[in-house]
Amino acid sequence: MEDQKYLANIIGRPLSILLSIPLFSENGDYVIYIENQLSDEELAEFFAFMGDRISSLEMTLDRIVLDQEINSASYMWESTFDGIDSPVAIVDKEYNIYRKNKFFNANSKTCFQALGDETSKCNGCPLDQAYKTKKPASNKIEVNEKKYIVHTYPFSDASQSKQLFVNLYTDITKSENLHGQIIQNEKMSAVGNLADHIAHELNNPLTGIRSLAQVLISEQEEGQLKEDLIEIEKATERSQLIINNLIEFSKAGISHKAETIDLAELVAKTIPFLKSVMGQFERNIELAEGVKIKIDPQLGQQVIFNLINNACQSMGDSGILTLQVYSNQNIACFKVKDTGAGIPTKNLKSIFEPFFTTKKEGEGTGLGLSVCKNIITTYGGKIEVASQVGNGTEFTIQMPMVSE
Amino acid sequence: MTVLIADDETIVRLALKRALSVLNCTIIEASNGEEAVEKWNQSNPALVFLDVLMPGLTGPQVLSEIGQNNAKIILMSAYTGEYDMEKARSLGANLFIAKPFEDIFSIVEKAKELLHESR
Repeated sequence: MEDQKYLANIIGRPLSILLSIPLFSENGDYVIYIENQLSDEELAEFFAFMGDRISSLEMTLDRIVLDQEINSASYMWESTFDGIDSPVAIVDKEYNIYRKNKFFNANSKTCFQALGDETSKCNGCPLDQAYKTKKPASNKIEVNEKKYIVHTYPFSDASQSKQLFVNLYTDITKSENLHGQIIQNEKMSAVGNLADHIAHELNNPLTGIRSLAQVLISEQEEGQLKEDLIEIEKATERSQLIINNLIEFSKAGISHKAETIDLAELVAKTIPFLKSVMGQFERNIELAEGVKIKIDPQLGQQVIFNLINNACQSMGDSGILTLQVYSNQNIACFKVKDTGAGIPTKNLKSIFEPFFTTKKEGEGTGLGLSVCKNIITTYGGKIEVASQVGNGTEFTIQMPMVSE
Repeated sequence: MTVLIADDETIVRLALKRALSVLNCTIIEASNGEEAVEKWNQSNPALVFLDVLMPGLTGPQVLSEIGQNNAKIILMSAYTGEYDMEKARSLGANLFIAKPFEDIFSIVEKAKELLHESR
């Protein structure tokens, strides 16, 4: 009824003023203040009358206060959850997400989908274990090119009917990579010591070969045999150069000698050493003059030698060897290209690692390219490879160019 | 006159032997430390080429085994860090040569000089 709308009509007179009170109070006590002109008898009657009606009002007020408290608590919980600087999610045993924070893709149903668009649970997920043992579990997973440690904490939902899990993910990608790098550095110093050892071992037979060659040369008449022996002696001299470089390399880093040299000249100086391996291939050599870099010339030659040697070895009986020296803005470039077998994509990222080799035992140490890369990066440059199986390989070295 | 060459690397012994043939001496070879001591005692060489790092007894150990002797001693080693002229002398050797040998003939010359000294 229309006249039921107004509190005054329901309660009835003799109320004359109804004050409005704010509904939020720190203390939680609510007061209805009624100004009246009743006598004592009438007041008692009035209180009885009001008492009946107040209780429902009280209940409503209590509920409003409770709602506010819940909202505020809920707000604090949500802020905490979202504010955690790692991915957090609440999932069930089928990996369905009940609640996730901002680190996950929106609109994803499962945790593995949300974390990295995966279609099934991540390798190493500890959820199963937590489910079976009903105890927290953790394990390492790798998803979307990142590595995490997942801590999963089982709990039951409020109704005790559902098994849920809180998954906390700690991103360990960086620290793992750092760890990997430390291992790599240790490997490099192991290589250093090994290199030192091998180098000195190699010097033994080499010195014998060279000395014997020198003796034989001195005994020969001019002729083919003498010329061949001279080549042998030169080869041992080159070998000793390489070994010396290896020893230098092994002494905790590379010799930091550097000279300004003309790149084309350095390449030209190295080519004669490769006469025999380069022999039967078609050559495409373009060495621009005036491209200068700063490097230890011996080490530079070692790199050049290594790349050309590799290129020739990959080509078998025939092929085209391309050598280029050129400059690109302020960058000195040296390119070695072959038409050999090419490098499979899966190996490409490993070829600069020490000891990585696809050659048979005894045919290669797997040190060549890693030493080259080390030398080039020490002098501020970089070395890159492009290759396709069946189409050949191209190595490009870029170094800072020295201006006149 | 006898020359003893002690080195575990066959071709090093061969190269030295061939190069030293100009001296017109008897060349005796040993491929390890024990053999070196044995042959040294047997042949009483005037000149000994002694490698430092050999299996079994090392060069310096051979020297201490032999003790007092009449030979001129050339110590050889690839590891130039630890051994040099001073160290070689303190061990009782006359000369130290680093491997690899750059020029075998200069070594022959040095050997000649040493042998002439004792006359």
